[in-house]
Amino acid sequence: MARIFQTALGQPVVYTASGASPVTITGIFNNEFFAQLEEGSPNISSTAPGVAVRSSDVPNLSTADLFEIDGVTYQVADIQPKDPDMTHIVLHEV
Amino acid sequence: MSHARTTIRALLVSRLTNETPAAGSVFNNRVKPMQASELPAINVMIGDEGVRRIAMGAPARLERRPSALIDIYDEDEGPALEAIAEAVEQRLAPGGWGAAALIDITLVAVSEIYDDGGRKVAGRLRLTFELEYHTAEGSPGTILN
Repeated sequence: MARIFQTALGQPVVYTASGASPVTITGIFNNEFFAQLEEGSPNISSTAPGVAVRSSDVPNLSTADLFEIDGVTYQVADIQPKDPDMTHIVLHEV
Repeated sequence: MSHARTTIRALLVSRLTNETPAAGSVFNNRVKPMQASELPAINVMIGDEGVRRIAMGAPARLERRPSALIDIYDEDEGPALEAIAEAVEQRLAPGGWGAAALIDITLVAVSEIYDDGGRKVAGRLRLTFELEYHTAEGSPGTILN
């Protein structure tokens, strides 16, 4: 199932594990609108970048790792296992 | 004639504009969302205000004590916000207000919140000042020194 989704929706992303060389894997990138600091007035208009990848492509994923997607470098902010095959990764721009 | 709240808010904005690391990104009672390109930014608001009559006469004198909320925004995890706060505190320190509308200004609270849900961590540092100014009763635009 993960392979089907990736084939249909994925794009090449460059993954650099901490201390390792960059490798290109396939990920499903999303970057939807996100309103930060909603408790305050006004809030900040932002986006919430994230990428879903096959868990087997990132076996030792850590928050020190980097992704380059569409020319922008991101650092892993949070790791959210979705199911045995897929991992959703919350990203922050570097 | 503007209400004194409007006058005082504009006075605070003018005190801060181009005088902190937020440079010209100082807003007067902004309610629309901030854009990343505008950060760091400062938003000046006047909050709840206590009012009491302190002298009879024609007109009577009202003592007014609103809070001023100085909100500092940035995509930052602390140091940049605090550097701006330092500059704001220096610019809004008591004394040196001369013939300006304010009789007193006192920092009474500092709070910070952060949100890591966006493309970068964003924070808001709020400085709450208590202000004192006086107006003529029935004429809220007439500031009495």
